[in-house]
Amino acid sequence: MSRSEKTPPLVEMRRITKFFGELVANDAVDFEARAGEVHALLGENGAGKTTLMNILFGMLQPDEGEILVQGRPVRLQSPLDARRHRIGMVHQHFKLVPSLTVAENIFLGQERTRGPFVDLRRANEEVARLAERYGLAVEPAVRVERLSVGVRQRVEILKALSYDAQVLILDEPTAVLTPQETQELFRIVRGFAEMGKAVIFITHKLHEVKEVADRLTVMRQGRKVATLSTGEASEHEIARLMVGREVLFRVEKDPARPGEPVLQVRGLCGLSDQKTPAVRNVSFDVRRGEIVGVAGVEGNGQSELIEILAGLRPATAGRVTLLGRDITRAGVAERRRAGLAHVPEDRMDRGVSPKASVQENLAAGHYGASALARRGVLDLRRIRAWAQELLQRYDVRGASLSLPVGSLSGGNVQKVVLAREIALAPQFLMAAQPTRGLDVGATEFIHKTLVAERDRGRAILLVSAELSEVMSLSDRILVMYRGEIVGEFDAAAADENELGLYMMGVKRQERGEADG
Amino acid sequence: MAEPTSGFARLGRSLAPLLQPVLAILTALAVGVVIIMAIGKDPVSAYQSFLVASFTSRVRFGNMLATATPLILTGLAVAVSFQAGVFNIGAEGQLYLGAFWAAVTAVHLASLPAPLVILLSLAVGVLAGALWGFLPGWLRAFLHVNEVVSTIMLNYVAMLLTEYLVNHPFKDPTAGAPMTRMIPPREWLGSLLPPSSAHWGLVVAIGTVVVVAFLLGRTVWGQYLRFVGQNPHFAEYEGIPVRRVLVGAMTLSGAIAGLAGAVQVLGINHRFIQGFSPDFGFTGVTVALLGRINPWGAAVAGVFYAVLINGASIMQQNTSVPYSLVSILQGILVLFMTAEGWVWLRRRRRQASPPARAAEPQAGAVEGGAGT
Repeated sequence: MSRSEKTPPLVEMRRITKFFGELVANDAVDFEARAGEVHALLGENGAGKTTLMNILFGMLQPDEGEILVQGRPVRLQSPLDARRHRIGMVHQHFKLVPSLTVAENIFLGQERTRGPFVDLRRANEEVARLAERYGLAVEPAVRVERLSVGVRQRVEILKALSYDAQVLILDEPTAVLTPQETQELFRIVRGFAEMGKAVIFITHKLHEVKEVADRLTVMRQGRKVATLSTGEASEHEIARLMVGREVLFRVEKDPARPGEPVLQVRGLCGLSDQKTPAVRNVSFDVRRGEIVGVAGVEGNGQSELIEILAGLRPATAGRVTLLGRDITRAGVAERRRAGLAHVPEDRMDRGVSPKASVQENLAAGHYGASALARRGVLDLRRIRAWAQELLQRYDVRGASLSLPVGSLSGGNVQKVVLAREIALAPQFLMAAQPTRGLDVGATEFIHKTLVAERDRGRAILLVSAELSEVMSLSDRILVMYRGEIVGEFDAAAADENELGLYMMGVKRQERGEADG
Repeated sequence: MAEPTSGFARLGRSLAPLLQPVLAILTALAVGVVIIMAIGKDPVSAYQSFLVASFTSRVRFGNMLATATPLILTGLAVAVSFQAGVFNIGAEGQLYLGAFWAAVTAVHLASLPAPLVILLSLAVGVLAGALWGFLPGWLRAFLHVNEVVSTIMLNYVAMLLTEYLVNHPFKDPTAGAPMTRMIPPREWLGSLLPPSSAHWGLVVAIGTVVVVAFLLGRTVWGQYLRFVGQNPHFAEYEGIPVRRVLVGAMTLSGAIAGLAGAVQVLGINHRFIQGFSPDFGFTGVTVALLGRINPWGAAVAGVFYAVLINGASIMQQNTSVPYSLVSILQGILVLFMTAEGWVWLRRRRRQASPPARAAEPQAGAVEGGAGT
């Protein structure tokens, strides 16, 4: 780092202000990235990190402030301008065409041509050279749809590098990676810094910052709170800067006191949307008063498992019983009556009806259960009072009953879903990716709520791509790999790296019949 | 940059649903001015007949309401299907079947007491329309047959079927044109504003609006129907019987369109006449869209559209601006009410807001720093 102190920063953003309507997304934010550093940009959801970086990448125009590249003021009207100034960005949601090859994707819009024709051979050669130069192994001629998420990310990075980016912005790059893939990414990122590039690393995972970044900038509510050297602050202090108050890190919970089995799954099989086997011979129990966590890289059958249990996807073999009652062939409504509640993975598409009001979404499924309707006619007064109480109890801020749910922030939407499902007083609660995309505050709330429900004697099944979440919330951990459960661990004794090996299919336990 | 005060913002939000229809109407009327000028007529006097004339006399007003009656019902029918996320483009066919079987019932049961005949005739019309809505609904829900295609095609089946029936088995032998026998006058729906053609069918239509508004807004079934329309994945996840709701919505939609036909027969034509409908069913799509697929919106939009249709006839007489201006305006209205641009605009606004929203609880603090 010391060698870069003297030279001007590669990019500098001065007093950047951006309005969206009447509210300020960025409020006079200063930011810089120097050659040879990894600079983490931290903040809760909605703190304005992505807005700031979208401005740097030319996707948004600031209302005030200026941007300097290597000391010279520039105007970045579009991503093309940004590329011309050698700024590259890898978005959180990849922007790749699955049916095209790696090389075709990388040169999309800047095709290598010979006369009027696309010169695929040259494109492949260039990608191979690029990949070698940066130590990013990819095969240029393979179609993107056949690649794993980690490799797709590499393709995105190569795409940014293909126009020789000096400043590389990575927007929450580790959200979809296994611990091992994350380590690999960190190694690559460090390599870029050593080549003299500046890497801007957007994240809200604190331990990553400590691991990979030289400096960090914390944003809160649209403003820059601080820029620090990584060594200067502890994780705790950084978290306090992000949230503006003290945060509990570990989920506080007493040891579980599991009771009798509530959900019993035996030899369950099911298919994916493509009709390939997605869940293979899965057996496990979830007992009263425990949280069973399912760890695994996304796409290893967890989503299908949850959907089968919820009654949204048929089981092709096996048996599911809830409190001794066989629900293998039951419809969704019947399962819910039997005591199942479900916080779905895709909260906007499945968990709520975004256009319907907060009140309507909260009341869904409760007309009979909570006596919100009489003879098929909604009791609107009762629904209002009941929904209002849930809003307060779950601390859904900034929401009014008549507002469409779709206009709430992700954290508040998730609270609406959780409130509705827990209000069913379920025997068995499934939560899939319950804190995905949520900020520290909302995540903490949801974790506490799940633990409280466990202590109330609910049986809880948790699925999360976030290994740390599975490890800190669960009492027992199941690892899924290619549709099978390849390992079962006591959460207290589980080791992150060990779990990672199971998640990648390197190791597996021979399991007999699930306990019980 | 202009920053609206929160008072204006709130007012804007409560008026927002009206924005699109009002802008669509204004744009359509503006285009109309250009067209009228282009054909060398005077837009002021043309629009005077077009928009104002329907309110200048009791008869014109009553005739306008008579035109509005079937439009309110077909608009309502289409709105119900749209609420459930399915597209009943078959109101025209449902209306024809409803009209035909209502007429046949009224003619053939003439020996029963008149009020009973009227009720039975309306009920048969409803049933005929309901069947013609149930069919595409069932095909859609259980066999994944696209309901837009099936309802459009079933329109032709219904129109040609009634055409055959009214030309052969049910033709009035004394009439020169293909039509059924006349319904006895005591079985007609009474008039409302004599000597205009307005009739009690308007009350039936408004009553249906009230019932449907209650059904959609205040009952569990209506809530289910709207959930299915808004987000079928959510409905499925909640355990709502999505297929049954879809079939129910299409059946209800068809039933209302069938009622429109029956009411038209009992109130206006007093018999089934081949080709009696000037696209009441198809116009229902425009009415539903203009009314933002809301039951009360359909009532308002139905009246508005009737003003256009009747005004256009008066305009044609008074100023020789052709009636077909209405078709042009209708096209523009549909275009604007369905325009992708609106979706785009709204999405842009939504995209713009997430960072702002997160800051909302502390809005005061943020605003405090904003001006500096």
